Amino acid sequence: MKTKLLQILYDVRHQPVIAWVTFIATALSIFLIMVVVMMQRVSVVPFAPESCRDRLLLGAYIHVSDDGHNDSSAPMSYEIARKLYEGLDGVEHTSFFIRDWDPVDVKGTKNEYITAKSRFVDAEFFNIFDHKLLQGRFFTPEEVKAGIPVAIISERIAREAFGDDNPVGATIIIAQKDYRVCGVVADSSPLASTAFADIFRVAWPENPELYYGDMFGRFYAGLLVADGVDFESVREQVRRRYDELDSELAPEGKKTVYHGSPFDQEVIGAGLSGSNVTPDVGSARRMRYIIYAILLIVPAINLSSMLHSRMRRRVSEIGVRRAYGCTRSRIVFDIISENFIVTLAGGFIGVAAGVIFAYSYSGLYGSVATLGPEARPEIGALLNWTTIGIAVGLCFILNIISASVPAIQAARVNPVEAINKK
Amino acid sequence: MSIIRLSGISKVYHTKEIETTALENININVERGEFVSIMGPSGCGKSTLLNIIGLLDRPTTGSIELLGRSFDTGSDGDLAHFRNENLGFVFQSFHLIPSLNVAANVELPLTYRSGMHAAERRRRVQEVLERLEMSHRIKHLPSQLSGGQCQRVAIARAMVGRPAIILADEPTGNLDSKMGAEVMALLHKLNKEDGTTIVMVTHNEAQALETDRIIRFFDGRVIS
Amino acid sequence: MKRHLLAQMRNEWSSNIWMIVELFIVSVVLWFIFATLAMYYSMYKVDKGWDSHDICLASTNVVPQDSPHYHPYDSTSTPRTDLQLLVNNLRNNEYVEAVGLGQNALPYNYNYYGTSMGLVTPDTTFMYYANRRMMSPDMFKVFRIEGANGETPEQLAEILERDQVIISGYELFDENLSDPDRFIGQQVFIGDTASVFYVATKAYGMRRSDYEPLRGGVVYTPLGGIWPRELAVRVKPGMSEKFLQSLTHDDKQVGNVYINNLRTIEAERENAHYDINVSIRNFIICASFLLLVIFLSFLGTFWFRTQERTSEIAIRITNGATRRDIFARFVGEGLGLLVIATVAAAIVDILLIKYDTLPIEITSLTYYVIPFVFILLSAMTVAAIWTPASKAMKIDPASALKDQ
Repeated sequence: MKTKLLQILYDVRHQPVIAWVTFIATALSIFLIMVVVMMQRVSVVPFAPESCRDRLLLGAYIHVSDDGHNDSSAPMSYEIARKLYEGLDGVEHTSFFIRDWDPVDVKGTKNEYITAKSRFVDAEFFNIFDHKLLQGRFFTPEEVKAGIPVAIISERIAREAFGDDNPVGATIIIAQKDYRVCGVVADSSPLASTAFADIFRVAWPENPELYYGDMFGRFYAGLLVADGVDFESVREQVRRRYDELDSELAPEGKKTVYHGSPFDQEVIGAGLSGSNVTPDVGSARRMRYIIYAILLIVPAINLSSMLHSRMRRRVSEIGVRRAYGCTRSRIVFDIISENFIVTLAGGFIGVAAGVIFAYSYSGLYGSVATLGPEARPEIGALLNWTTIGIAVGLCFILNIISASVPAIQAARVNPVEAINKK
Repeated sequence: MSIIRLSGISKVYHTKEIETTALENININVERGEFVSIMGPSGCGKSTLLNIIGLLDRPTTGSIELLGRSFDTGSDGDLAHFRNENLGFVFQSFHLIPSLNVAANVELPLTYRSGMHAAERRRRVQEVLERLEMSHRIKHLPSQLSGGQCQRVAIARAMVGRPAIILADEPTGNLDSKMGAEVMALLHKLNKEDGTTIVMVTHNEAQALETDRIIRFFDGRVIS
Repeated sequence: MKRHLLAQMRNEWSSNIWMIVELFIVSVVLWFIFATLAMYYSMYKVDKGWDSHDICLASTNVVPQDSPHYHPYDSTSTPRTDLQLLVNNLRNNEYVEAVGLGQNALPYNYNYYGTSMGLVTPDTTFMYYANRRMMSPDMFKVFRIEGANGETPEQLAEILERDQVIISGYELFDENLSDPDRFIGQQVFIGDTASVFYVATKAYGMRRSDYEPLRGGVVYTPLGGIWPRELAVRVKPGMSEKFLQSLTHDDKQVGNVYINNLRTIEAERENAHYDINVSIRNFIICASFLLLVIFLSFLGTFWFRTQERTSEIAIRITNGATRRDIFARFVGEGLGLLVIATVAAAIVDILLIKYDTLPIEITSLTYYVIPFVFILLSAMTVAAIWTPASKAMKIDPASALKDQ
């Protein structure tokens, strides 16, 4: 190990250009791949208020077709959402809520309107998503059922609309209607795309704003699947419910088109597709793998060529080592592990730069116009054992593809020729 | 009992069109503790012979026996292990590893020896360098040493594994006569005190005359 | 000496192969990236037929009747009169040029209100499929939509005023569709046979995004009885932010009607184009990265070459080569590798085009990208070889040969 470090330092001192070329190419490659990895990870890694991501399924959209010429698709009406998703086996909590938030103007005791993002949710919503309650309480199922105008607001709204006044029990005007504040929750990140909101209003099933006809409305179904239950078994039940719905629709000459709902976090994180298409995470995944491959292979060829040239300078050294009893496989191992140290050093810089970039540039996750400039993932979502493991793994792959050919070539060197060379 | 036994060794190089015979039917025995020099004009196959004895090259025909062990076959690993335990090499152009300091260069053969602790390796390196009066240069890089010092480090490297045989290929070829004499004295000392068998290729008649026996080569054949 | 040269050639041959493989991969990937960007660019450059600057957007809402903030109406007022007052107030704002109302009328909105228009003839019924955009006549002035025959927004507004409709052509023409011109000057039904309109003329079709051609056509119809949820304001040039700041609560609410979600069209566009902007950004980052890797590769490879050829160069200089020759030889070698790689890459590019394996639309630009990539890579090659080649140029033959 020590001699390897000495060798690396010697190379840096005597071949600074080559050392920098190697280092920069490694760091950049790992940096870019890690940014892509972290972008994707942030959309699936659990964090409050979406700590449930690993167990979350989202029932989204209904697509109805009559003999193929007339298609309608949109989020569901409350009745359809219940028909398809209520009381499934293996599901601990089922919430019927509005996933798309509305921009609203709100006013508390302070005499000015502020803008906020509002979402209609039911009582179960807070059993699935772990919004941290700072004051007051969540909704009761009775309030939701009766459409009592109560609201839960975020810490930021409490501060901006009420100042020092106690918001709980106070009236807040939301979109020109009065609501009573029943609770205050901690601010959440807009990156929690399913759970985030500034203001939660009761999703009263009979609210006409949430309907477009019998089948369609604005409802989604959030399902918290019990530990150890296979998502596919839940989907299987939903498929059977689609079949039942089809037989109800048959007299009208309509049928549903099933697109694989309920969706897991990978699909949700990829932004859910349109209401009339089946999400294709496979192609997104393939695209990512192609990007990884290009970002790895092209610099690997470069690194390999550099290493090959460096090894040619060390041919006589390899000859001497072989003369003194070093086996071929040991030569290969030594070169690859020496190179791995260099790759790891470059990779470390790459990962550090990647984490800083992914943390500070929120444009990675959505438009700044939608998320706001302050939307940033928690550092824990970026830097954790998984991402470190992925980074080390990437370094290892990069190292193997760039170092193995030159190392094997170096080991094949005939010691006699190597020693006789100059 | 011969420590080196070569019988019927020949070596033929094939290139696309020509066949070059480097060695032809060589039979040599070297006894334990002998200091043998090999002489002959350039290109007569001396170095090839040395490489074959050093198990770095394989003869085209003939058999080789070192320390009573036959090497007609043997995997890369076997040969490497044997070289590591029993052979030491000294080259004309030293071949020190430029990135490693004196101590690390000398330690090299020991690092390929399994089961030797770092402390033991350091002790051996220290001991050898003290013997060769190089211990004050232990932290220097090869580029900071004179030619004679480099060759002394190279000899230290050859000695450190306590091999039975040292193979030296024109060890004084790159040195001036004073330094050359010092290096020769060292090799003689090694031969006398440790009983190490030494086979040396040289162009220097005077140096050769100081050794126990001279084998003269011409065109791949032993002539005396 | 001869053997030494052979070895050098063989050694360089292997690094040449590495370089060619690398250049080949990068050339193909860059071609794909720039062909995609060229496709986006050519879509973006298509004349939109409306002016996308200096517009602000808002949503219109009505206070629910069950709200304590609801003002009961007397016989003279309705939400519509409130809305009209609100629009009039906005028109009087010093920054405002025009105010329009609409439903599914705004660009950068991925909703699609599909409708079909039918022209009944004795023989057959011709159908026209379109995204229906319902708007007040002033919407034409807000977006400055132009007629296909050079009609001004004002003239188009008058047509809508007369309760007539305007259609657009198809951008992606499907042979199953009927020629839009057939419908002009005809009475047609829209949606169901009971609602009949006169098609007055053809105008540019407003697309949903700047990167998407029209799937079907567009039909601009009057609002009729529909409550417009969308409000759009044309402001004086550069005054969007000032206009938004100038609005008071009274400007935003009249009676039970209020507007919210005020934003500039730029924000709306950024939002709508987010996905495509992300992929453009990623493509550019990826391309820059690959170019940088090529730069580093050439730099490293030729740095070694300079070192290894010191004596060769010294001999060339002593035999009368000028320093320029040395420089040109290095650069020439790099470009030679690039030419070989580009030829191989161009063959692959053309095969990929021919077998239609890529998710891009092929235009003549797709082919022009091939030489463009070559020029880009040449620039990188020359830039990267510059330093080692200059170093080689400055070799002092006397000391170089002495070292040898």
